[in-house]
This record gives sequence, C-alpha cells and structure tokens, in this order.
Amino acid sequence: MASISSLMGITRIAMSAYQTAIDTTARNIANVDNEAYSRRRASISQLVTPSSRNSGSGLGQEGIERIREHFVQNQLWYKKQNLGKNETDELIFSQIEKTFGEPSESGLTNILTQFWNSWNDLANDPESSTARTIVKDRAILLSNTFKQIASDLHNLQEEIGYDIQDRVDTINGLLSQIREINTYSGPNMTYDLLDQRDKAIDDLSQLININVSEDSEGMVRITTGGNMLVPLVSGDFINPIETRVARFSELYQVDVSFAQGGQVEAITGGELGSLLSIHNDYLPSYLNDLDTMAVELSQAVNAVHQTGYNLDNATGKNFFSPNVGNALTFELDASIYADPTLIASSAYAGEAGDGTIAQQISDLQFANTVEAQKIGDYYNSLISNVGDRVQEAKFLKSNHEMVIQSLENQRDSVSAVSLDEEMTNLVRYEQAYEAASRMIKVVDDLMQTVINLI
Amino acid sequence: MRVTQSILTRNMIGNMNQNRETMDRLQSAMSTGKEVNSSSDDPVRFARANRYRQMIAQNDQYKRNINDAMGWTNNYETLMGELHGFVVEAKEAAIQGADNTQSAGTREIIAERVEGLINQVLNVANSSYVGKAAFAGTLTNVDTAFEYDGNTVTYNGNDREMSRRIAESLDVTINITGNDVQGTGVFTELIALRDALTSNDRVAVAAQIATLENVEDEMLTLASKVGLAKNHLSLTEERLGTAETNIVSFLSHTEDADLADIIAKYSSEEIAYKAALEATAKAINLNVLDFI
Repeated sequence: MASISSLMGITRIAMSAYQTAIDTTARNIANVDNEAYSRRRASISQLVTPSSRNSGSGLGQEGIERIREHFVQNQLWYKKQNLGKNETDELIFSQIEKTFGEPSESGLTNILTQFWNSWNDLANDPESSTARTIVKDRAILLSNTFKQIASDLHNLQEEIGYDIQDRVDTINGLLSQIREINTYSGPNMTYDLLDQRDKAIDDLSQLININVSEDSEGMVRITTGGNMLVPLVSGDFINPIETRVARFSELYQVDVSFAQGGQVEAITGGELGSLLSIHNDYLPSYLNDLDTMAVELSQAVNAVHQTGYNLDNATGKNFFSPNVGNALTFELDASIYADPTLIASSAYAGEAGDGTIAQQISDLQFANTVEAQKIGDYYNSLISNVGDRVQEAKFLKSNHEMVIQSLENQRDSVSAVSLDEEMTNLVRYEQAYEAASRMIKVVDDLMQTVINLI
Repeated sequence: MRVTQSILTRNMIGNMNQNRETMDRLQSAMSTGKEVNSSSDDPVRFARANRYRQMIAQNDQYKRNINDAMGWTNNYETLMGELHGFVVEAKEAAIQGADNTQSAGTREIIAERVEGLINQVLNVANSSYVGKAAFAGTLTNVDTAFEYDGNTVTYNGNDREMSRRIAESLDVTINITGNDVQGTGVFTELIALRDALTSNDRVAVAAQIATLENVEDEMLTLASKVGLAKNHLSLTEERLGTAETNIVSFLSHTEDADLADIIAKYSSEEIAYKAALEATAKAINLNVLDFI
C-alpha cells in the first residue's frame, strides 16, 4: 500500500522525468537544422521506473532513444559515392570541353580549315610570296593551337594530381575520426559521437566508394573497392591510403595504395574515383589523340611537300619539323619558319605558275591521314566524345540527385526533427510537469491534514 | 509519412534549383539563338553542325577559286577576241594584196601593215594577267613568252595546264598555253603573208587567204574552249550557291533555337518558378508556433 511519503517520491520522479523530456525536446529543437543529427526521444515509461538494471544499457543516456533508420542510411552511403563521382565528372569534363573551345573562331576546327584554305589560295597564286606568308602564319597558328590545348590538358592533369592528394588527405582524416569514435564503443559511447561518426561516414561516401558494416559492439568496419579483406578502418585499427605517382614521358599516373596491404583496387566511386579515372585514363587518351593528330598531320604534309619545288627550285624540303613527336613539339620546319618563300608549291622544277603540290596539300583534308580517318572527322569525334562524357555525367548527376533527395527525405522522415512535433510535445510535457508539481501541493495538503490530526 | 522541416526545405530547394536550371538553359538558348552551344548540349547534333560548318567553309574556298578562275577566263576571252580580230585584219590585207591592180609598191605598204599586225599579236601573246605571263603555261614568270627576231617566233613557255579546284574533285583548266596559240599558225602564216607581199608574189598572197581562214577557225575553237570553261564556272558557282543555301538551312535546323517555342517554354517555366517561390515563402513560415 502506498504511503503518503511514497506519493512524494513518485511525484518527484515524474517531475524529473518530464524535465528530462523537456530537455530532450529542447535539444531536438536546437538541432532542427543539423543534417547530421538524429532526433532523440525521451521514453517516459522507462523514465518513470528507473532501475539499476537499465542504467547499464550501454548508452549512458538512460531512457532516451536515438531514432535512426539503418537501411536508408546505408543506401544513402552507397548512392552518395555515385553522386560524388558524377558531380566531379561533370565539373572536370566541362573544363576539358572548354579547353577545346568548340565551336569558335579560335577552335582547332576553324584553325585547321583556315590552314587548308591557305594552301588552296597558294595553289591559285603559286608565284606569290604573300600567299606563302599566309600559309606560314596559318601553320604557326595551327601549331600554337595544338600546343595550347595539349599544355592546358597537361596542366589540368597536374592540378587533378594535387586534387587527388587533397582528397586522400581528407579521406585519411575522416578515417582517423571514425576510428577514434569506434574506440568509445561500449558504455562510453554517446549519441552525439554516433551522430558525428555518421556524418564522417557520410562525408567519406562522397569521396570514395565504401562498404560499411557495424558489429555487435557498435564498431564500424569500412572497406573500399575490390579489397573486401583489407579494411580502411575496423574497430580501432586504421589503414590509411597513400598515393604513388609514376611518370611516363609527359604523362603522370597516380596509384592509390593502403599503408598496409598493397594497392587499392577498383576505386570506382566518389570524387576520388572520378579524379583517378580522368587523371589516369581519359586525359592521357585525349592527349594521345591530339599527339596522333599532330604527328600524322605533320608527316602527311611533309610527305607531299617534299615532292614539290619552291621558288628557288629546291625540293625535298620538310614543311613541318620532321621531329614532331607529340602535340607539344608540333613545329614548323626551322628554315620555313625563317623564310616562308621556301614553301614548295610546284610539282615541277622551275615552273613557278604550277600549284599542283599546294593543291595536293590542301586536298589532304579529304584524305584519310589520321588513323584511316580524315583529320577533321577524327577531331570531331574526339570533341563529341568529351561532350558525351559531360552530357552523361550531367544526366547521371541529376538522376542521383533525385534518388538521394528521396532517400534523404525517407531518412529525415524517421530521424529528422519536426518542429510541429517537438512543440506539441513541449506543450504536453509542460502540462504534465505542471500537473506533477500540483501533486506536490496536494501531497503537502495531505501531510498537513495528517499533522493536524495530532 | 512524417514530414519534417528538413524535408520541406530540401524539396523546395530541389524544385527551385530545377526551375532555375531549366530557365538558365532556355535563357542561354534565347540569348545565343542556338540550342546547341557546345558538344555537351547534344553531341550528335553538335557533330553534324560542325560538319555543316566545315562544308560551308569549304564552299567559301571553292567560291574564291571560282572567282579567281573567272578572272583568268574573262581575260583570255578578251585576249582571244583581240587575236581573232588581228587574224581577220590580216585576211583582209591578203584579199587586198591578192588584187590584180596592186603594184609591188602598194604590196610593200600592205606588208608593213601585216608586220604591224604581227607585232600586235606578239603584244597580246606576251601580255600578263595579275603579273603572270598569260600564254606561257606554268612558266608564268618568263619576261617574254614569245620572242620574234623578224623571221621566226620562239616560244619560251611550256605546255602545262593551270587548273582551279572548283568543287570537290572537280578541276577546271583555266589557261591557254603558248603552244595552243602557236598551233593555230597565227605567227607562221602572218609571216608567210608578209613575205609573200614583200616579194610581190600575188599567187602566194592569194593562197594565204584560205590559210588565214583556217587560222581564224582555230582561233575561234580556242576562244570557244574559254567560253565553255567560263560557262562551266558560272554553272558551278550557281550550284554552290544553292548548296550553300541548303547547308545553311540544315545548319540552322540542327543547332538553332526555335525562338517562339523557347519563349513560350520560358514563360511557363517562369510561372512555375514564381509559384514555387510563393509556396515556399508561405509554407516555410507556417508552423505550430503560430497557434500555441
């Protein structure tokens, strides 16, 4: 049977329970705009019957739940790596597209057309040194454009190299945060730490493709790429990643490896995945295409030019340097550069009025000079390829944005703070608290009554 | 579903971004007049447009070539007309010289007139067009294509044709070489007429009438070759013009924006955006705090 003094006890417990509930509500309201925060809920039934058995529940926040949706959260981490990749893809491929600068007056397409046309004009006026100067100027413009594009792409590769290093540093920072929080597992873990760890994993999933699993102790294990057996972090073990740069002639190749466990395989997602594939595959391939164009164009023009005679009746001369090895070394022959009147246009010695050779060089635009394609078509397909990448990245990005938006909504539907809900709860808890404190007055009155009996 | 503040905000921002993106795309289409501004806008259409642009640039070159060729053929037309005129004059001189009533003295005077004609023919044959010898084949930088020592004419040029590219894999020959001119016999027959007149050989002079008629025919044949080439040029020019009109319209169809369509889309997008803004402003302000 309840005594009056135990009534006092119940009331005291109820008041402190509602105080905790109000405290939790206040915390929720304070975090209404905090993306990383999972809302808490004070569980009144547990609060009003505190028992020593529950205090060891392992979370040190007796009676307060952290509401979180595991399945959706894992989905989000999985999808965010795609978003990170596509966002970066779009950004960098757009940059590459702008480097080519098509269509414009200064684009390679137009410069090439002008180059061919200048030879045709020379064919019409083979005696002229003005026409030769124009051919030379157009050729210089052409070689400069090649060099400009190639060096822009090389610079971009270098910049991406720094970006990769930067992302790797960020990843390692996040890994050590996660490991740190892992060590608190057990009675020392708090909800705030769990929020922080989720946030760190969230950030990590934007940067690199990861698999996350959580053990019974509440410690997470994270692996990446194809290396399921080599974790990045597992419990209090951390295995940071590092970059190794190799250089092949003008090109760089970056590999990522674990501090322990060799090379990281299949980094296909996240910003790092995007940066690595552009740095190691796409940029070298574009540069290689440009180099092929420069080399084969110079050889084709030289082959015809060598058969021609110039105004001095000399033959066998190169027009472009015979040592063009790539787009960066695409140069005119030094003697032509110094004296454009040495440009050959005639197929016959001493016939100044013959423009056959100039016409033949102009006709090279219709010949399959580069990889069995016309140079214009070859370049066109290179540009289209870059455009395709940008378009694809844009499309996938907006797709993933939509998926992630709806996943985030699903997650928030469970774990985010709703002001309406919190305010309603606040009113409820406030009233309950008021009622409980009114109880004290009643109990006090009861006590007075009993005392007055004496 | 439990809808929280964060869901409301996320959806609204997402929708407005989408509105904004569409409006941005439409706006750039309106301001550039083009729907395809770069390869990534539409790689297939871009590649096609690029090919059209190259074709247009190529056509421009062909038109330049045709203009150049036209200049040459016009010049040859004039020159051949003049040469033909001289041959006709020489024929008249032969008819005059073949007349029985002429004396040795008057034939001598006619011979001098023929000598004058020979020099005029030489003048034309050695003329140049834009600084290049007209009748020297590809040896356009010779000083005199024909040298005359009073009895014989020597040709310093060659027999090479000059041609211009007037369409893809279509060349047209624009020149008449010195050999062609010499082949008509204009020099030899005029010299023979002069000699016959000087030596007062009436029969030989009379024989030159028919020969000169032959030369005249040959001249006309050469002139008609020029006429044909000219005809060819103007036909091709016309064809290139039509082709260009077509390509330009293909290009426009490929990359240009349909302004009426774009503007209509833009206005409807604008309405959607305004509505989204208004809804956002209202919804965000709305919560239970206003009622407790």
